[in-house]
Amino acid sequence: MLVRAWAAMHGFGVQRNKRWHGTCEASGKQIIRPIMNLPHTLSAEFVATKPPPPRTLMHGVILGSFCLGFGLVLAITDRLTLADIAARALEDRQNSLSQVIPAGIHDNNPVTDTLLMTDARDKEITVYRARKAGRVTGVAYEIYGTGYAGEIKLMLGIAADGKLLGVRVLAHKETPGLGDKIEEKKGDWILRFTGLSFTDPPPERWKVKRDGGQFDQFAGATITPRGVLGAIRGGLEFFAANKAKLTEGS
Amino acid sequence: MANDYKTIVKDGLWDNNGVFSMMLGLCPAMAMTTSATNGLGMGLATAAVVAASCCLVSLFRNLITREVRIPVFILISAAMVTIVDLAMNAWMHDLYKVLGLFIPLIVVNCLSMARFEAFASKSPPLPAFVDGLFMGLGFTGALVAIGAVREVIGSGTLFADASLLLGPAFKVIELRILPADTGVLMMILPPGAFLTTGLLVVAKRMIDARAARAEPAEAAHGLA
Repeated sequence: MLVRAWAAMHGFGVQRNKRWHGTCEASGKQIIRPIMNLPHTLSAEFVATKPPPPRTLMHGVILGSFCLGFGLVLAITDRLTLADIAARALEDRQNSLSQVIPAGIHDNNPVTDTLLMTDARDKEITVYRARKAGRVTGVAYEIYGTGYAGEIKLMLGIAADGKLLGVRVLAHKETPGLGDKIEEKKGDWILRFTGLSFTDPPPERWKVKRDGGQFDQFAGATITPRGVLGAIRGGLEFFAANKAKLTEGS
Repeated sequence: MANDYKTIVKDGLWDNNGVFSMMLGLCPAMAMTTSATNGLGMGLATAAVVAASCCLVSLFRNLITREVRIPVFILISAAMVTIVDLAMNAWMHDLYKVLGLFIPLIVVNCLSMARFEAFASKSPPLPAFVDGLFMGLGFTGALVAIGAVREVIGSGTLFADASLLLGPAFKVIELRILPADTGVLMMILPPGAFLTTGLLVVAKRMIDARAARAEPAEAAHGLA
């Protein structure tokens, strides 16, 4: 009752955040009760007191300290893992390169022998060069096609004479069971390009059969192979246009 | 106390299962379960992160005020995920190549939020850790179940590529149930996820209902 009287006297409730604030008359102890429990837990011996002002600053300090603390932990983790992650990325690139550049044709490390070029659409392309005894024997670079469900990223290897050394899918989001047959582990479709070049077959035949080209699409999926072929054709065009620069010193 | 832990374990694995009872974390549960192996990977990664962050939330529970608890919980969860992501990329790279895709998704899993709020922020670190771990394992079980159904019907295999995730010794659990190219593609696509999850929720409810009906009967039998 005293609580209610206090509230009426001051013209507002004593609750803040759905809690009643009060003091025990006998012991002077601070009492905070959820508003739901009021009738049972607050008897006449509790005198309502004014709730403390909201502690906005303290909340800010707590949140800020947590941000600072975890920020620090993340910065340290980043520092600790930086070198190892870079090394793993290099290994990954080495692995994908080794699929399209046979070990026999080079004695250098193509991952570190790079050349930065821009393609016809002003996109930067990192070209990895394979050399044997200093002469360029082949190059590899990433190519991109548009598939059914987004970009298909491939690695294309090409010998200095313009023949394809191999094409491999690095990443795609195609439908599992349909479009993913472009992966080497799900089918041999992607292997058929090895040994071909921009003139064999002629450029206008670098298409799927449905578009008048000479390559099979696979059952239920035309858009995916079309995207891959478009990427390869683009990659071959890039090689043809920049052959002199790419094979400089061969 | 032992009884408490028993309840925690049972809640996490079955009674209060994250996916089938609380219907939490459905986005990763449905997006990642195109195969049982994927479900297992996503589930284990989630279990590890949820257990660790529940433990952290519990350690800091007396420092965190009610008003800022949500941002702090998200901060803890996101920090744990980032640390796991970086550490796995650097030191467990083969596993990272399989799981890497899943790990950032754990941040948006409501399961961890629910456990922080309902349990970890009110319990000592050890029970909080156990709760997080078994909620995560229950989540793993649900994901493996959804993934297994979808994989068997969709591609005719079970646990395909499990050896990539668990090591070459697990080559033996990679099974082919149906002949190649007989799968129902829809089950691997998003509709299959909704269908499977829905049907498994129904199955769990039916089992629970049957158990509830059997219980009074057993009690009566015991008296007689």
